Amino acid sequence: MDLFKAIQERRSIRKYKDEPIDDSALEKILDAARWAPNAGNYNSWRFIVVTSPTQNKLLLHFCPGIDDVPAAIIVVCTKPKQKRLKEATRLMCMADCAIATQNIVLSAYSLNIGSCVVVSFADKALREILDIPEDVQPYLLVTLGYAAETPEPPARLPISEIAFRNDYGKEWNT
Amino acid sequence: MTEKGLLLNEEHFYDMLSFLVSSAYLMAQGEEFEELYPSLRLIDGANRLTKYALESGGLEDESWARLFSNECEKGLKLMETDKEAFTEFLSDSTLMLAKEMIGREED
Ligand SMILES: Cc1cc2nc3c(=O)[nH]c(=O)nc-3n(C[C@H](O)[C@H](O)[C@H](O)COP(=O)(O)O)c2cc1C
Repeated sequence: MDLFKAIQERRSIRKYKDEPIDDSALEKILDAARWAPNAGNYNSWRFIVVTSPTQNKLLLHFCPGIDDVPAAIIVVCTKPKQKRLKEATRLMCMADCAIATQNIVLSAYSLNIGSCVVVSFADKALREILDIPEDVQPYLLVTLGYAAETPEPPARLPISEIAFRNDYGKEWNT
Repeated sequence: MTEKGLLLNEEHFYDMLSFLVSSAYLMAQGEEFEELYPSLRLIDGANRLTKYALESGGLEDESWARLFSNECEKGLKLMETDKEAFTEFLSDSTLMLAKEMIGREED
C-alpha cells in the first residue's frame, strides 16, 4: 500500500466487527512499532497486547466512550531513571510512544485493520487491571479491529495555515 | 408509570458506574471550581446510582457498594474544602472500582 495513501485514508475507527485479529497480524504490527525512531535508541517502550475478551471488557470500562473492541495495545514506557532529566525524559518517553503508535495505526491500516488512538483512560484503574509496575508509565491505548464503519475524514487545516517558511508566521508558498 | 424493565442487572450497574467514575476523573481539568464542577456532578450521579442499586436489593456485594457510597459522600465534601484531595479522590475512586470489578471477574 502506498504510504501517502495510507496516511490520508486511515481513520479513527470506533465501531468494530466482532471478529478477532490473528496473532500473525498483531506481531506484524508490533514489529512496525519497534522500528519507529526513538530517543537514544533506548527502546524504552513496551506494548501490552490485550486480546482476551474479558480483559478487554474490563479495561474499556475505564475508557468512557470506547465500547467493545477485538484487541487493544497499551503503549507504555519504562521510564529511564535519570533524575536530573525528569521533564526532558518524560517528554522523550511521550514522543517515543506517540511515534511508535503512529507506526501501529498505519501498519494496522495496511493490513486492513482499523484502529483508534485513545488517551482518555483512568490510569490507576488501567495499572491495576494490567498489573503495570509503578515505574512504568502508560501513555496511549490503541484499539484494533476490523472496521464496521467508514467515517468521513475530519477536515484538517490547510497547509498555508500550519506551515511557515524560515520564520514563524511567514507564509509558506510554493 | 411502568416499572417493568427499568432496573437493570448488576452488569449494567457496574458498566454505568465505571463510565461515570472514569468520566469524573477524566473531566477534572484543573483546580478551579469550574474545572472540577462537572466531575462533582458525575460523582454525585455515581453515588445516586449506587444508592438506587442498594435500595433495589439486587446487589451481590452490598458491603462494597455501601463503602463506595460512603467514600463518594466524603469525596463530594472535599470539593469545598480541599480541591487537591478531591482530585486525588477522583483517581482513587477509579482504582477502588477497578479492584472490585477485577474481583468479580475472578469469582
Ligand atoms: C493522542 C491522541 C489521543 C486521542 N484520544 C482519543 C480518545 O480518547 N477517544 C477517542 O475517541 N479518540 C481519540 N483520538 C482520536 C482522534 O479523535 C482522531 O485522531 C481525530 O479526531 C482525527 O480523526 P482521524 O484519526 O479519523 O483522522 C485520539 C488521537 C490522538 C492522536
